[in-house]
Amino acid sequence: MNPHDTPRRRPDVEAVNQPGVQALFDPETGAVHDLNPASMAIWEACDGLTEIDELAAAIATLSQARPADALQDVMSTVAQFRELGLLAE
Amino acid sequence: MDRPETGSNVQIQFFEEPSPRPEASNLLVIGPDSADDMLTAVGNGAAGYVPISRSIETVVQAVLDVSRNQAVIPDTMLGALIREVVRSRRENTTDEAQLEVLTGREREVFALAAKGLDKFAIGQRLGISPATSRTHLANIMAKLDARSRAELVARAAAMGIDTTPEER
Repeated sequence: MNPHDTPRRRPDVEAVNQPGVQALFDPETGAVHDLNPASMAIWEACDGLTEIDELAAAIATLSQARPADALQDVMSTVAQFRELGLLAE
Repeated sequence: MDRPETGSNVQIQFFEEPSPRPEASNLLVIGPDSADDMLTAVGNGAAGYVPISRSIETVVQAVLDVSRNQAVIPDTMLGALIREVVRSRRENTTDEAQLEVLTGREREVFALAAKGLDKFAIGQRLGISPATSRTHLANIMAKLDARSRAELVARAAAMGIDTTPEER
C-alpha cells in the first residue's frame, strides 16, 4: 500500500453510523466489525477516488496531529479494512 | 435569533436560515441532524455543532469543550467534515497549480484584468505598452484555457481573486 492508493469499500458492506454506534456488517461472512468514529470516517472516505495521503492531510488539519502520524494511522486503518476483506480489489 | 447566556464564554445559537455568520470562535450551534447544516455552521466559523436530537448532557459537554477551545463535531458527521476538507484542499491546490503556470508579470496583468481593466489601462498601471499588455493577456488566456475576457474574470473569481471593477 502506498499514500497514493485510492481504497474503495465493498458496496455490499453495510455501515451503521449512529451516535455511539459505528459498525460494519459484512454480508458475505456475517461478521460485524465495531469501529471508532475516526475509523468510520476513514471508511466513508474509501470511495475509490480519495487518496490515502489526501485523507491523512485532512485528518491532520482537523485534529492538529502531525501529518506523518495521521498518515500512519490512516494507512494502518485501511490495512485492517483490507485484511478483513472489506475493500474492493 | 435566540442566543441565551450560558454563564461561560460560550455562545449558543440555534441554527436557522439564513446561515449564521458568527464572528466569535466560541460559538456552539445547535441545529438539524444534517451534515450539510453542520458544514454550513462550521464553514461560517462555529467552533462546535450539536444536532438538536442529542441529549442535554451532550449539549452541556459540548459547551464545556468549546469553552476549552476544543472543536465539537458529532462523531457521526466526522466523515462528512473530512470529505469537505479534502474537497476544499483539492480546489485550493488546483487554483495554486493554475496560478503557478503564470509568470510573475502575467499574474500582475491577470489581477488587473480581473478588475475589468483593458490593455491600455493595464499598460498604464504597469508601465508597459498596450501591445505588451495584449500579449500577456493572450498568453494568460491560453494558459488558463479561457476563451474570452469574461471567462477570464469568472476564472479569477473562482480562484478568490478580487474582481471588483476599478476605475480606469
